[in-house]
Amino acid sequence: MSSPNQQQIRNFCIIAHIDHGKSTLADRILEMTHAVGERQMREQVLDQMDIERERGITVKASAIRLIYKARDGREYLLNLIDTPGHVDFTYEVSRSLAAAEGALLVIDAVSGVEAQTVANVHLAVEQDLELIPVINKIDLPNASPIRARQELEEIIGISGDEAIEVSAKLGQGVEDVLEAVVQRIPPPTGDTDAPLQALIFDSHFDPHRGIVCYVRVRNGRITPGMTIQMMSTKARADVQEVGVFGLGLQPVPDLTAGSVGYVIAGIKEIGQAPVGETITDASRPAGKPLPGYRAAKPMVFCGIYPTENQEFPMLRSALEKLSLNDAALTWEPETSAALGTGFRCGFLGLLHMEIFQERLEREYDLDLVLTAPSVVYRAHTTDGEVHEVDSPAKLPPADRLERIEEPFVRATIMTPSDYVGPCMELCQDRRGEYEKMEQSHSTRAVLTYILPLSEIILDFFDQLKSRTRGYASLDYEIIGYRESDLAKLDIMINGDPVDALSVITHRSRAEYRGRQLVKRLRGALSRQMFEIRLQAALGSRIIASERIAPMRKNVTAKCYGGDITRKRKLLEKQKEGKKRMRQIGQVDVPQEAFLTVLRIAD
Amino acid sequence: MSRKKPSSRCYGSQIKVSPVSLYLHLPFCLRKCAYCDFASVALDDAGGMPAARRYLEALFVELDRRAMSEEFYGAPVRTVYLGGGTPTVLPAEWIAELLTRLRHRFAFEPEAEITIEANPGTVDEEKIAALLAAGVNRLSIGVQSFSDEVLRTLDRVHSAADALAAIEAARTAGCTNLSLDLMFGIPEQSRQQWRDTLRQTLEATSEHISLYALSVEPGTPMERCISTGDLPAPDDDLAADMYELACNTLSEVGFNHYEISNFARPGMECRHNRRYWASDEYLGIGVSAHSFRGGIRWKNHVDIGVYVEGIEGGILPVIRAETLSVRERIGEVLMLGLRCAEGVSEDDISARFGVAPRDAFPGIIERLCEEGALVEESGRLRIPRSKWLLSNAILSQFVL
Repeated sequence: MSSPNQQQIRNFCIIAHIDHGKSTLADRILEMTHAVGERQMREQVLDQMDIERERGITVKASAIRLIYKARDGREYLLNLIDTPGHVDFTYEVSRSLAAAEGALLVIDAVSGVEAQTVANVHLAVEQDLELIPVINKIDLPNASPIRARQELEEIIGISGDEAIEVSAKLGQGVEDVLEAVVQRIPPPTGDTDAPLQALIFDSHFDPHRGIVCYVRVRNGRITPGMTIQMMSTKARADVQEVGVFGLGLQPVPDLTAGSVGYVIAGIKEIGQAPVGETITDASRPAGKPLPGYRAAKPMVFCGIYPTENQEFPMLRSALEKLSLNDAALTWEPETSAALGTGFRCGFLGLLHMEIFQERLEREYDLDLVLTAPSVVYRAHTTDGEVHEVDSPAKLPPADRLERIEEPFVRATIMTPSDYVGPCMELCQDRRGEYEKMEQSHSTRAVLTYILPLSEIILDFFDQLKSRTRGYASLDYEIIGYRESDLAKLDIMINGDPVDALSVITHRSRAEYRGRQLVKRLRGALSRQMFEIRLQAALGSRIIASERIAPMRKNVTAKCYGGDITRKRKLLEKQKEGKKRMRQIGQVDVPQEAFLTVLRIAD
Repeated sequence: MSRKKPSSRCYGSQIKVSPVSLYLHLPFCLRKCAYCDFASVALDDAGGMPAARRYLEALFVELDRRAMSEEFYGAPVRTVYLGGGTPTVLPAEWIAELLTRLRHRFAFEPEAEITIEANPGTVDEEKIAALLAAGVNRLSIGVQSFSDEVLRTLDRVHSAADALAAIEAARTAGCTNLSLDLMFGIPEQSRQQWRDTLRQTLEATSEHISLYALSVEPGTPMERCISTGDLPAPDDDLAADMYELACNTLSEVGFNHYEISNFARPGMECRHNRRYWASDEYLGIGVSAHSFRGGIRWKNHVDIGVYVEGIEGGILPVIRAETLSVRERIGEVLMLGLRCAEGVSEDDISARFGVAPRDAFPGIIERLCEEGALVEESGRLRIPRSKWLLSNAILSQFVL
């Protein structure tokens, strides 16, 4: 296949709020361009992981090349780049957008513009993309395309007339969308003869061939046999294969300026070719990398432990394999007196963490205990040093602490005006600082608050949804570190602190959290032969306590000839149950207790 | 039919066959109680007296076959226990017939204890007299409670007055070894009700008392009532209080608390049940009955229809058998023996199995003694009475 004429290439993304029908629209486009045979057509072809399909969200970007015969009679080559649909993956979204010249902005005709729609538009505008608004789900009885158009104008500032009404489910209007892609999105520019600059917008790990980099070639040409260099990590590699995305990888002789495709160069570690990196020709390097690269930085940390200690090696090997595909994940071994050996893992956000947990459990069949998620605190000690603290256990002792800082975010909440009150209440509860509120004519409000990230990563989103009957949407961006009055809350069982249960919390909330944790723990433990004291302590001060009275009756009343086997089995079960518990001091703590106590929402 | 005669018939006087106990299961009741998960059925539901008779015939066949078997041929019978169900829903003549059959098939020891379970409302003086005449020498009456309210919660068919009448009838008929069964820890049962039941039990007089904490079994009507909230779940702390109250009350008047749930006037302990706790051997006949002989335990089918048809079809309807390893057997000796006040003798176990309990369960006995969960006294190990209510935690150390 010869290099296509730039004028006939269109590179575009689809961006949308979760559930607005991004993947369904992508599916219809694939069908319409016959990229996928009827029989191959599964729902949402682009989302490859089971978890993605089940949750209806896209976690990893992915791309596909389509041939579209336009109404002007010419054939166009369309590269559709799917983007992750969650705030945790904003950076990946922005890199995907950087690989395109235009974007379809999908808006649900029922729910209208949402917080993430706005966030995605900001990202697209930053990248100078041509935006084509698409109002989806017009087949639904309660669809209101007119209101959606209004919101486009009022909230986003795009003329509502530009929007195309579609029903991705029924395929209605999809051809108009494809025409708009051809007509409105500019063809790529770039000089094939210039030094190579190719942006890595995603990658995946192939166990046989190493990292497969998904690239957009800005300038120059990339061919098998050439030696490439990563402009940030400086890693070098020899290109083994380049190709484009059909319904699989299709090798081609070269990728030239304007193309979207993949590069395989025998790279084994994802850290050497992370998303956002610029590839250049080692023998004729470009002057500077493409703009905007930053390493994805984990924001949320938690301990991951196997339920059974002997599964530790399995957990390690699963982490090794999964991190090949996930440049944003960090992990290091950690030991807890209560939970044994495990790993402290860093994630982009809570969703990233949950998806990761699900993949570990599902794809690797591991039973896990996860500790409460924590952000990275900055502890300033009296000796003038600054410590990054990603686990309560790592917090320096109180007498050496000068101050603690924690990350803050600017949160944008979009909500129907009726629910402004409950939303503001929630933000106040979570130490939020009001910044502004904008009201649109369509009875929707946009609230902006400055909030500690630690308050968001717990149950904030669930709470927001429940207080607004599911109508509010949330987006946030990290704005930096600020000092907070924080303290470490220890949970003790019969006087022994349980490291896995301690949390860093704002002093004003410590008592509430302490009481809540101790109460939950009480519910999760069963009575034992002796009294159990459960306490929450701030330093040496006990702020909450509960006791579990000793068990008084654990006896088999009847044991005669016919009962012996049964009673023995009963005792065997009791003994087996005890074996599965963690001993803290003398107290047997079932695994479920950790899960119950650490569960995020109430 | 040619049968190889077991050797003991020819050399009976020279070869000592170890004694057994016999358990006969008679599964019929007037009706099923709310908490009951035993193999029992309401007689009317099962087809009435004709069905009961057919069952009895099957029982005869099973005991004939077992009596002639290698394992039991010539074994002297030390105790007999007729349990259920409610054996006394059957006519006294049938029970007499059953006992006669047993005497024809097995050699009874002269002092053999023969117990029958009886429920109030199914016995009168005449019937008890007939049972005693047939050889029964111990009667166990399922009183459960002297509170009509509590009896209603249990969905017992009888009233407190029926229970008193049955006890009276037993005494008048000449029964000198009477045991009463009581239950505590029943939903909605008050301390006062329990105290009153204990008082009336003592007033009624008996040689033996069994006290059972109610255990709510899955699949019973009572369990359903508790899960729907129609009945409160039993309160373990209250049950513990009731148990302690009963232990004190009965000890004060001279009852010997000889097993976790059992009390007797000195010398009136149930010999049949003691054999279970001593891991002695027994033969169970009838539906759901268990047998233990030569380190093997087996269980008959639990369904009456399957049992009867099996027997009539010429097979012994055993559904499960397990062969216990030496370590399992030692574990059982401890698990059962430590239920009793006198505990177990380590030397006896060593002599019986050739392995000392401390070798079979290394470190455990030492640790339990250190913790005070076991007491060692003149070669015997026992659980102090104060720990009986928590004995499962101790006994579970001796399972594999």
